[in-house]
Amino acid sequence: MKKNKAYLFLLPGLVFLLLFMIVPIILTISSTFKDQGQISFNGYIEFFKNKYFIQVLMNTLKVSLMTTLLCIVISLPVSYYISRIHGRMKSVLIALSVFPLLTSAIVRSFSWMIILGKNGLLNEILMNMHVIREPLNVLYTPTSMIIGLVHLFLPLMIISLVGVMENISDDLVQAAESLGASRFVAFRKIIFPLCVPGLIVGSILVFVGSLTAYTTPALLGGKQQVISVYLYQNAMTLNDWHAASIVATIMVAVTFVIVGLMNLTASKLNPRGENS
Amino acid sequence: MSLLSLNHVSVGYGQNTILKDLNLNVEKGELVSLLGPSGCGKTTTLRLIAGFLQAKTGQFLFNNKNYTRVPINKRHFGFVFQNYALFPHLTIFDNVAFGLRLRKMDKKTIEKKVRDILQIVNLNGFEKRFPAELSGGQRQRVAIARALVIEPDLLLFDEPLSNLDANLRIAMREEIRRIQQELGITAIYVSHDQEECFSISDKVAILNHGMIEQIDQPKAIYQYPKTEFVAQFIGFKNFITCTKRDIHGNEAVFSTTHGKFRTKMSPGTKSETSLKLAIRPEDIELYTDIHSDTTGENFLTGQIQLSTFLGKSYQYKVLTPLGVFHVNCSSETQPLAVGTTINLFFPMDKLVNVD
Ligand SMILES: Nc1ncnc2c1ncn2[C@@H]1O[C@H](COP(=O)(O)OP(=O)(O)OP(=O)(O)O)[C@@H](O)[C@H]1O
Ligand SMILES: [Mg+2]
Repeated sequence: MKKNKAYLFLLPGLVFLLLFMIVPIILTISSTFKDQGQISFNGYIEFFKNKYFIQVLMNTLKVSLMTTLLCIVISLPVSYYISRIHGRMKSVLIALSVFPLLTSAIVRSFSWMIILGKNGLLNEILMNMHVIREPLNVLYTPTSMIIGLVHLFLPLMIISLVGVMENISDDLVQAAESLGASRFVAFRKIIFPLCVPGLIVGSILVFVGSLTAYTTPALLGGKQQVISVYLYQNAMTLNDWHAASIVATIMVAVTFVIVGLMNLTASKLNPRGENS
Repeated sequence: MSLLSLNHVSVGYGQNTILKDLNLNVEKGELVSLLGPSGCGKTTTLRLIAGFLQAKTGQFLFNNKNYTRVPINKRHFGFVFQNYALFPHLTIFDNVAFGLRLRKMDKKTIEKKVRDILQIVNLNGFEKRFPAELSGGQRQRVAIARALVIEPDLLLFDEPLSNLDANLRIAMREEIRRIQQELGITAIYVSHDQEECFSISDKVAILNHGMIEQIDQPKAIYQYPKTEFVAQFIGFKNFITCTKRDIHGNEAVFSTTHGKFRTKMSPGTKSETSLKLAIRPEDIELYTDIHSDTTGENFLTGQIQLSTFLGKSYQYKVLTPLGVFHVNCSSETQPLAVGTTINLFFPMDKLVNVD
């Protein structure tokens, strides 16, 4: 059999993707550059003049960035621990850490509402312990959005990091320690730089996920709008598909820019990504 | 007082005890090798000394200080790993400088020390490369340089040459010995290769099941193994079980069911109950003409069962009333046919009494 013929097997998948993904994306994007049959950038200019939209965009970026950073901070020790143990305990911990992905976004968000609400669990506990006198306003703030998103996307970061950390041999840490490094320094100077590829993959997944998430910010964000909710309102409530398409295009562009920036950082941090 | 002493140390993984009652003393400036069959606990011993493993019982003294619970990074020992364990994301320079930077030395000193040590291991000019861009032998030398540059109080080698080809192995072991002596570093060296251990060590320790069977100078071990295990391990293939031992001055006469064997008393006289004699295949002499000169003390008659060509020599399997003996004879002479009746002679200075 000729080697070229093997590509035939890719054909069904390619046709499917072309028809149902590439073509609609191109149609959506190209439609944003048209105004009454003529090519124009008016839609974009108006959008970027709109203070409210800029605020929503910034808000979204801030929330996504915070979510990503928090996921990194929480995942580093957790993933390191999981990557160093063996046997059944390891499978159990991995299963537990992906658990949030298995529950519905609505159920998850409602649980956070119960916990974070004005008369919720958190405030009740803190008031009973006399830590605070007035109930905290956590729900329907960026904080509650970030909490919900971290909960949702932590598994992606943990799994990405466990993947790279498993391939880092114990000998490297022991070599560093025998040269005088404490556990912490060995982690910072050896494990962390070798994790950068996984860190980048995890960050891209979490960041893009947070940027485009709808249910969690819609339920936990209250009046605090993010770009996906804004998009939904334009399309479904205001029935302004032209505006919605422009928002969608901006989201795609922002995503590409951020992913590109992350890859750039990665190649700076870790000139030789390979572990040997 | 020895520089390093392990006193009645036991170590294990989980429930599994690997080292039961280990005792080891190493003097300052010595290179001591650990030699033993696979799985006997050589790596475990090194890892214990380095601090990667904790002793369950016993005590580890170093420089008269109790090191049993001292953390790895406070021990100041160098460790050369079998798989090198170089940091893949750092250049050769940064790999070697790693330990120095942790010691907060100034930039100039670090640069000088790294260059000097790379000079010693013959790797100058490689500073900017990454480990993945070096050959196995070069990585090995980086690993040694990285451990040496911190001027450790003790250098630990775990089969450092096992991944190299035979020629490079010989060159590198001479290099290691030269560096160790030049810098006066105390070292413990693990290897599978007996020749390697014997050629570079001041002392060799033979391990079996987590115990040291014998520790001595290489020549002493080679000539006078103390136990049957050690003898077997270093190439004594033939053993004679005797029934009685009589000592006459510095000679001993061993009686067997088929004749008597006279030997020199080996240093460190064995107890009354050690009635085993050992000899290497190449030390037995073989006579085809049987007459009164070739019978009597230290002679044994037998029949050739099997002949194997080994290159330098023929090895004969000879069946005698005292069991099967392996005898090596120069391959320059005409080989003997299977079935030939022959006389074996056991020179008294080659016959060793073992436990
Ligand atoms: N991490 C571990 N967990 C459990 N048992 C282990 C572990 N490492 C080694 N062992 C066991 O401990 C024993 C001694 O191992 P060790 O690595 O010290 O042997 P060694 O003498 O270095 O052997 P080799 O010459 O093959 O390297 C072996 O029986 C081995 O199965
Ligand atoms: Mg080993």
